[in-house]
Amino acid sequence: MAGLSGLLNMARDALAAQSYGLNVTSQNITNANTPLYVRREAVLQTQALGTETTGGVQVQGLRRAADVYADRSFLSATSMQSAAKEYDSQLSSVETLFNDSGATGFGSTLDQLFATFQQLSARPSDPTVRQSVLNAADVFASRANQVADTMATQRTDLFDKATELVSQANQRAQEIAKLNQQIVSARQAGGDASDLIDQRNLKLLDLAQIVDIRTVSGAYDDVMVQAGGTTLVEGSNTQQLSVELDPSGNIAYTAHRSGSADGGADITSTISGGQLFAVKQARDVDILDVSNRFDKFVFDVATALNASHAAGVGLDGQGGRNIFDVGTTADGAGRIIALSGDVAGHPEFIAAASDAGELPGGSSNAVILGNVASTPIVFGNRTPAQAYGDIVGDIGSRRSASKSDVDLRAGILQQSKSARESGSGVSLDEEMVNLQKYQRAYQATGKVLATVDDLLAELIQKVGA
Amino acid sequence: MRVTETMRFDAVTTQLSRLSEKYMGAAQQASTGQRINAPSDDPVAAAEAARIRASLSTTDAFRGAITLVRGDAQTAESSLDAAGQVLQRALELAMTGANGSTGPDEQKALATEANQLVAQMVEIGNTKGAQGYLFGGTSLDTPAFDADGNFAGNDVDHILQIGPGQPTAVNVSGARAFTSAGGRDVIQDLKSLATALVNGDSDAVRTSLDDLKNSHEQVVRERSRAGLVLNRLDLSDSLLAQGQTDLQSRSSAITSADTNEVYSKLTQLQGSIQQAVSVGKQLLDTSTIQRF
Repeated sequence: MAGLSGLLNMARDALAAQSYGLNVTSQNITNANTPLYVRREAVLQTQALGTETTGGVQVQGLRRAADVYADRSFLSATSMQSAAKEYDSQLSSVETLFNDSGATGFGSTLDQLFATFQQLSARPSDPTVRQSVLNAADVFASRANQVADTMATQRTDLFDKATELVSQANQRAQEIAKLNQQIVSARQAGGDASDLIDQRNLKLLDLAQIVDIRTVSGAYDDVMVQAGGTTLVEGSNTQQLSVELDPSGNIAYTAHRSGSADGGADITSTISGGQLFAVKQARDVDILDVSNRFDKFVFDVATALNASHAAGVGLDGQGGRNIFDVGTTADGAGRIIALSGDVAGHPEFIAAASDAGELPGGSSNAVILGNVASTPIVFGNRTPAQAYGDIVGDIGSRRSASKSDVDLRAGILQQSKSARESGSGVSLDEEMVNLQKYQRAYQATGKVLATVDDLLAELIQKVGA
Repeated sequence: MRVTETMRFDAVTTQLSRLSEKYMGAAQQASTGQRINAPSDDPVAAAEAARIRASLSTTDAFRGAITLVRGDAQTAESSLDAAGQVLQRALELAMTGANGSTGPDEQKALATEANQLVAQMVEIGNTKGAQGYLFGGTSLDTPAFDADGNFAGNDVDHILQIGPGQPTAVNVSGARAFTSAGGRDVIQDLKSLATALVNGDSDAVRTSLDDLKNSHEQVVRERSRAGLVLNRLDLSDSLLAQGQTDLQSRSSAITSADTNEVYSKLTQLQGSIQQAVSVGKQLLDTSTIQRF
């Protein structure tokens, strides 16, 4: 046991320990709202001097209340949620194109066209009616162009977005590699790297929004980052992602060592989360499907109308004219369909009659044109209205699924965020209590000092006198 | 479980934003009166609604076309009625003429009237409808009969869809009503009568009488056919009107929002939001900071 002077030493260490505790507490309070900040705890322990019990206290260091498992599931929930959100917002744009609930969608232009064929069969020689057939056909073609162009533009934009995201991801990977390096040096020098680790976690979170990543911690708190089955960051080394279009025009992601000349690894199909996944999925699966289906629809309807129209004759007795220019295959039909040069500007060339003998009042071909509306000519066995309904229903179910996925993913993210926050977050209540705890101990140590001081004074007085 | 401030704030904001989103949805339903404001609200119903809209549009178009041709069919019917009366009068003239007891002056008067009937019949044959000459078949632009009563039209029907899959001839054939295509050439028969009366040839008048009877029957037959066309148009129109009502109510059953349901949902959500706000306030107030 130490004497009075030993007591003084003990009090000195105690003051240092309690103020260290206060310091840590105030760090926690300061960073209560810092994203991904992991609360720290002051680790105090009794001081041993050899085998002797001194009864003193010493600061052993800081403990980060990190939970690797919670962090990982938070990152993966972030990837999934970010993917779901991105995907849903892309589908919502497509859905708007086919939203007829205001009766202004594409569907009504087709209805309108068929309605003018009915008028035409009632008034085959009326120039006004003939003009309205031309107008309705023109509106049908240009609305089809609009819808198809919007989807094509969206696909182009999505490729640009993927390019932008990939460059962001590469930047994050480099930042992570750099932080890795700093963390390792700090730790190897025996220092504390908590702040650097927190910073790196923010970068990881950013990266997780772009692509689903898996992290493996190293010996010195460095982290290895894997995405799509390949390693993006290992220590201070990175692999760069790149995006290009494959021969069929679809997005392809590759990973390769920076500066390396080889083609790199194709990770397109192994990426399964984050915005990169959503962009690819929306662009090359859903929008592509819908747009192909739409092209087929436009092509089938236009081709059937052309065939019926060419079989009849205009007021000049000539037949063989098309209503639409639509090409020979469904490929891109929505974008290229236009009012045919055969009839554009010539309402008298609309073939209402079946042959020259029944001019000008013959309506039998107009009836045939109108009948296309109820003939299963689209997708092999659907009438135009049924087929259009199919397209609307298809988009509706895609979007509806993505909407509920967004809800689900948001819920999971919320849950894993809570789990992470519960372990690693700063509780102000707790910190207030800690503040009190360290303050009281500090005050009490002061009291110990005062007491020892009194005792010493008394001793000196008595001995000195 | 440790609960931190961030968790409290998150819980409050998440709950509030979820409720506001639901509230927005319900408000949109209430303001539009529509249950489906986008295909994803109910994909199956949205697809069905799109198909119903197309059927409604087709039905509208059928009815519109019927309205467009109905006037002509009516005109044709009344014209044939007039033609029947002309032939009736011609029969009377023929009977008087065939009697043989008429004096030369009377004979002359009969002949004059018979010639007038010829002119009247040509005029009837050249009746115009909304599109052109009614009795010239599809040859709308040239008079169906020239001044001599020769038929210049054709016997092609005006075809119209008056219902799903029902292409129907909606015109009255001038060829079958007035020319040998229907049996007798009506105008030639009238002309023969006039000639016979002018010549005072009572044998010829008697022959003409039989022909005119047949002509009359022919016109009456075509007139009743015109009546049938009108009936069909009216019947189709009322069937279509009924179909329209059915489609509208189906469409509304699929897409319309139940007003009571929507409003009670709105009120309920409003309550929930207020509750969430007050719970949130309490939750945030439970922090012990103030007590230190």
